[in-house]
Amino acid sequence: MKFSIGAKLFLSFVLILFFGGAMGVYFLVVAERALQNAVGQSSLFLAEDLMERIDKDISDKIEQIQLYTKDNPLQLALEESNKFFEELKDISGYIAREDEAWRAIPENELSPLMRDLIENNISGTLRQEFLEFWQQKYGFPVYGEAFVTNRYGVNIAETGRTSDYYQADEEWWQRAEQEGFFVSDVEYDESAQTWTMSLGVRIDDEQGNFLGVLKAIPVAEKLFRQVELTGKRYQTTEMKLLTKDGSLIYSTLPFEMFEDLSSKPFFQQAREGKGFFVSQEKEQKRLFAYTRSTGFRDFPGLQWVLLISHDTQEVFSSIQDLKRTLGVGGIGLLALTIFFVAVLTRTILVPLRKLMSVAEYIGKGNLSMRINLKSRDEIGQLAKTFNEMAVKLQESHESMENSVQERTRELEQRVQDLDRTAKLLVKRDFEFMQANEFLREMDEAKSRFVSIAAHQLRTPLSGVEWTLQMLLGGDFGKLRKEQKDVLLEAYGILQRLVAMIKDLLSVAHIEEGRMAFKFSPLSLEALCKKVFEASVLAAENKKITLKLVVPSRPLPQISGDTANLAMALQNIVDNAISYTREGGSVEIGAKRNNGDMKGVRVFVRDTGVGIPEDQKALVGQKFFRADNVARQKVYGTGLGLYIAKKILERHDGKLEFESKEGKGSTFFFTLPFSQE
Amino acid sequence: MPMAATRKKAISSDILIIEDEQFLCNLLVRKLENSGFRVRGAFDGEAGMKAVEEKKPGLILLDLLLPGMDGWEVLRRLKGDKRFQDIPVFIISNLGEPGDIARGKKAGAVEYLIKAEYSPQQIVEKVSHVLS
Repeated sequence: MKFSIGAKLFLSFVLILFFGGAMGVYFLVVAERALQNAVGQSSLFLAEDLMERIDKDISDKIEQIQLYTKDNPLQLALEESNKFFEELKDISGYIAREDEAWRAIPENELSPLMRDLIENNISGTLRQEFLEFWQQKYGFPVYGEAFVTNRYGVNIAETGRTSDYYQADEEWWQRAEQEGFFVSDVEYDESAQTWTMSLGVRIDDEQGNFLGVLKAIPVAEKLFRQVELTGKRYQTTEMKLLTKDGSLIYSTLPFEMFEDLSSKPFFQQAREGKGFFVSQEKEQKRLFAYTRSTGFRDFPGLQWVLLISHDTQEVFSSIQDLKRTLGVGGIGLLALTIFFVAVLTRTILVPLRKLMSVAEYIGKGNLSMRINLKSRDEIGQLAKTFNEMAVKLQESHESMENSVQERTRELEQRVQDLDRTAKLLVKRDFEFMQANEFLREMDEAKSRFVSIAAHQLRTPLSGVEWTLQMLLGGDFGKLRKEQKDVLLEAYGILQRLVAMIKDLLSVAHIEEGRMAFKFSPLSLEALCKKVFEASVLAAENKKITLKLVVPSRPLPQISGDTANLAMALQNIVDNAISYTREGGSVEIGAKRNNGDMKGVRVFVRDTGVGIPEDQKALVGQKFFRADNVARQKVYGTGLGLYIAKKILERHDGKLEFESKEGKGSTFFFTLPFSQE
Repeated sequence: MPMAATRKKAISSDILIIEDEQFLCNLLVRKLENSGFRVRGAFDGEAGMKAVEEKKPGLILLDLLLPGMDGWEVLRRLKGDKRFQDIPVFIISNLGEPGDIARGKKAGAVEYLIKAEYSPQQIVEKVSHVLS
């Protein structure tokens, strides 16, 4: 997926924010837990402290009572009472009768025994020790009442009327006798109409003999009040004291005594040992710390539960403050981020987009586009560089375009020139072609003329020739000697005419390109021999010595057309015989040529008239005849050497000669060895 | 003269000469008759073909350049006709180029004789050689 830079930036900031937020929340949770631990722990310490104070107070009360039991008058009074009862014959009967009588007295009346017990010395001390002392000390009474029984369980002194005379049948009395003291839990005292506890303490003499039991009844509410269960930490701090069964026996807030709180969540959670926790109560979340009474010294405690709680809102107010601060800070950070992204977008992305769109325009060929950016940062620099680049691009483009236009103009000019030249050339070519065609036609007409003329000449010549032959052959009767001689002379002349026409035809064929050449390997020695044999008669007629000179070892073959080469050599030999006087000699020969061209050299050497120096260059030209031979009226057309030269040229050969006027000439040509 | 002997020998031989030059034709007729052959002459292609139709000759001497139907055409017709394709044909012409000679041989001529190069006596000898 593609993201724009803006999206990437925004995403990065969102990520940073997210991690920052997550860390904030994590720190908050950690801090909250730490604070909860700290507050919980300190509350627990407080609870433990208070609980201990309560237990110690109760323990102290017992010890005070124990101290008091050592009082001499009390001991004496008890010994006296015990002696009295010891001497009775039916102790239990007596006690039962007296107890029944006691309870028979209405509550608002006093029997003489009761009055005696309330007003004796010991009860006075009791009243002084337990009621008045505390009243004076705190301004309120801690004890509701106190009384003393002898070892047989009957009252010997009391601060007010008790409901029974006989106490030994009650648990507190028996437990106190057996265990030394007994502390009862809080209970409702019907006679006093108040919530009280019972503190029973066994009384011993100095020898440790059991003398009786003293019972003091503190008012529960007053007892705790005297302990000063304050320890307020927070505005919302509340302290509750519950019995082990969950009945409320004290609270720092107004409360209903012995309210059953055993079903409350906080009591459920505080079942075991001690600790702290947060629990929802009504609409408040409260932090609870709790502990259990475990007694003090000999006092084993009553398993009461002490709960100290605070409203978490107050306890964690610092955390709340932190939360609020963090929230505000987060929002601030978010706003800052948005601002930052906006600024970044404005300062980086907007110019970048501008740059991009301009680059696109330029890319499409709109080279005059420029970026207008005022910023002096890197992007501004980039835009400046970009503009410079665009200017250079435009300049180079324009110059290029100009040069292209210039070149185009030049090219057009050249094309026009070329066109003109081409037209001219075409015209010239056409003219040339026309001229050439004309020349060719002329040439063809000439050759055709020669060809037709020669051919047409041959037919009547043949008629004359055949007639002469038949006449000489006797087809028209026997001839006289004189007649025959004349006819023979005529026949000789006719032969020359035929030869001349044959030469003319050959030239015509050569010039029309109609002379056919069929190349095949051949022996030039054999060719020389053939021409030598064909020329023997003519040489004899002119009394010329004809010689054939060939090497003893056969020469390599050459490639050529036998008929045409024979014609060429024949023409050269005919020429030699023609221009050699009687008694002269003609030599036909072939030999190996080892010069520039490896091949066979053929030569025809005569002792003839030779060629004048100033006319050597003309030898081989059509119809050329040297002055000296023309003067001698030697028969010739001037075509023989021309034909020979042309034929040899077709064989890659060249007709050459060496000559000295009056001495003779040597004509020669060399043909290369056959390639195979 | 050895004419009687040759005449007897060639009595059944009938030679047709197709030659537009009457002078040359007559010379050949005379020369061949003197040699004992029976000879007919025709001066153009059409007349030549007619003569062949009238009586199948033993040999034909054929010129190439003829008015009207030329010698090539006559040769083509003869060789294309089953009745006459066995007749030996001598071309006698002054067209003496190698191409012409090759063409004539290819068309079915037995001999190609260039007039300028053969005397009447030599022609008779060639004819006698074929007909004997």
